[in-house]
Amino acid sequence: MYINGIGNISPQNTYDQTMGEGLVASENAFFVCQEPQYKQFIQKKLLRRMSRAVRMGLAVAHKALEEAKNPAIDGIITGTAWGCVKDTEKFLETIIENNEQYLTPTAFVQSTHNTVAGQIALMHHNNCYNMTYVQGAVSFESALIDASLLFMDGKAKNVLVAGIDEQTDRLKVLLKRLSCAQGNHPMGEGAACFVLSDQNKENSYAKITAVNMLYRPKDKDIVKNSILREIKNAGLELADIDVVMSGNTDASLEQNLIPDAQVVAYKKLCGEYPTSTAFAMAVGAKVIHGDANTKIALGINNANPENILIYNQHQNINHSIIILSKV
Amino acid sequence: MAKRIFITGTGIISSIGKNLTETLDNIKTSNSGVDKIQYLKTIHNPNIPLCEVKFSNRELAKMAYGNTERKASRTSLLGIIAAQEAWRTAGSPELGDGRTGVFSGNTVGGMDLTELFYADFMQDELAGDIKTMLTHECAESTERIADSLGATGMVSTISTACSSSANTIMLGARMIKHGLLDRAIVGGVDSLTKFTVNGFNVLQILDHQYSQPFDQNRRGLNLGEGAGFIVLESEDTAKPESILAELVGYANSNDAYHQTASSPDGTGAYLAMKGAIETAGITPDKIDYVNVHGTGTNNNDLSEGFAMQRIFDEKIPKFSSTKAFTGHTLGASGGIEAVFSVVALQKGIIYPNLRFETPIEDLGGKMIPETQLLENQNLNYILSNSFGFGGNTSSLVFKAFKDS
Repeated sequence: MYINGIGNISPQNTYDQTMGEGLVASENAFFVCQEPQYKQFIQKKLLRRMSRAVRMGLAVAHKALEEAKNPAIDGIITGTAWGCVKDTEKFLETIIENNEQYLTPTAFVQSTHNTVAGQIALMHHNNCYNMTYVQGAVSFESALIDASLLFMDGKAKNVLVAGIDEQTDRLKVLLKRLSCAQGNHPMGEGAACFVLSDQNKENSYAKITAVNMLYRPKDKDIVKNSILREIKNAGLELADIDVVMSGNTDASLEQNLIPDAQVVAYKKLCGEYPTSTAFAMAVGAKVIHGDANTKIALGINNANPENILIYNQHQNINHSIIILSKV
Repeated sequence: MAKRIFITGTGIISSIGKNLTETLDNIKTSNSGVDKIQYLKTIHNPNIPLCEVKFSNRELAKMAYGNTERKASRTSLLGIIAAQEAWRTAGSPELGDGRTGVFSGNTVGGMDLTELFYADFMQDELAGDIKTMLTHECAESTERIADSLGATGMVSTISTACSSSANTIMLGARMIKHGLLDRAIVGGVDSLTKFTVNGFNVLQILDHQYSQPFDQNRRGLNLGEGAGFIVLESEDTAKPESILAELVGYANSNDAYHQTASSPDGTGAYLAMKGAIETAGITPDKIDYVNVHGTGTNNNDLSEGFAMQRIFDEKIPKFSSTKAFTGHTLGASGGIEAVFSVVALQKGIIYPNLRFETPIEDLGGKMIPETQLLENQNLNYILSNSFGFGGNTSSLVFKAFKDS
């Protein structure tokens, strides 16, 4: 699968350029997205009713399609763990406050997890394959695997794949109480969308040579062997991995497994959130494509990295392995 | 080489039974699950009837975990009970080998517990048991199901509103077809919550009486809860004596018309059915029975009816909506109706569309569902439809497995 277009809204300035020069730090253990001017591509009257998750999703889809020169799309697949949090809260709070009376349907309708994928289809009048994965820290990976199946089935030439999660004030309180947001381990949010294609084009950023996920691996050896197997399946040797973009606080497993690779922590730019690997894939693809600012932001030394392993895990329950390679 | 996909197990819990045997008994006696609200705490009692699973959370915890004290969302409990039955009936094949997927469809997650927590939380942001929020996400019930089975392969959750579990069946089939998995337990679960009841109520698509799918005088849908799972196995691993039916067709499409309403001509529904029949490599006239989405809303039944007329022309196969029995179980409906489809093929039965009286005029007055339980039917192919908010439309084609 080739990455032929990327839209990325993140706490950093990544929408209108690859990576803003001045990097933004988290505040009170939270990162907040820098959002673009939506008016340029979403009608004002529609915009008013849309939550940030939907706006961000539509904006990154727009950007990814534009970059890929607006090909016909054969699949729209999103991953989101938290879903449309704001509208869910809004409807739930009104139910409780008004004791199940005087409700309006808008928030309920927009609270469903597939709102973003549905709205992309609506906006682009697209009747194609449409799917939404909600599997915690591997929601985005599920979407990627589904996209790869569409290509295997010969059912697609171009597929839109996105990972989206939004923060809200209420969610921040809940995450604090769950001890998730710490000064040295801030929470974040983001939306990243990709046009994936079976065709290598002049505007291809990189290709995805492996995607896999593990559920509750019994021990570290299973994780290590899975990473090794994915490297092999990608047609690579261990020594070919130049950079590991790690989402983990303790990156010793990946560092010990691939001692010659430089391990960098991508969450210092976007914070912790379930679909953070979509952000990692967006910036990783730009690094492989040779973008200097992104490389500096991630602290990558290698002048010309050709293969990047993205490895993330959540509480040793869901593990994610993605490999990006130069085209 | 594409692998054939066999169904080797079924599990079901809904308002008409806690397992397949009870479910079939209630179908035989035309005993619908629609009833006055008994369990959900809501001001809509007794104005809105629901299809509740007729057990308290403590009773469900006993069935799922053998322990009434075990804390879990109603969603997880229902999911575990049906998934366990599916797994057991498949002969409990080996699971912890990484070659088995667990895919579940779900829309509401642990909202039943979130609602309780949130009432306290809104009074005081430090109040309430914060651990409740760990059961909120849709993936939580899938992971509890996976844990109850000891699965360590790919575990994933799909949320495409009312087509969620049909889509997990499709995902499992495609993973197995390409040799990425040997087997998968697929389906879905949803429990009734104030959130969903009020959401559908304010959309004004709930029937305050017993629903009448595909009837001229239909008034809306009855919400239900439950879970339905089937076990899919590759032709390489399925034991011939365990095979119940074959999954031969599937397709997913988007109506791209409106966030909640179906297009008047049923574009998405048409594309899903057409795609599924094409994947099966058959012509529409081979379909012996359609388990329709048939929610009983004005919009769905009309749109689905038009789409069926486009696919089948004058020769509409026998069809019925089993939602008159179970209510609309949202994220679980595709799984529950997959179980119904597999059992129909095995036993040669067609389910009655309860409470149907008058055909829909706008469909030419010709679309008349089956109203009696039909037995001794020679069924080869069944089409099952699941459509949802966000324009999501999915169809599946099941084929009878006959020893030859």
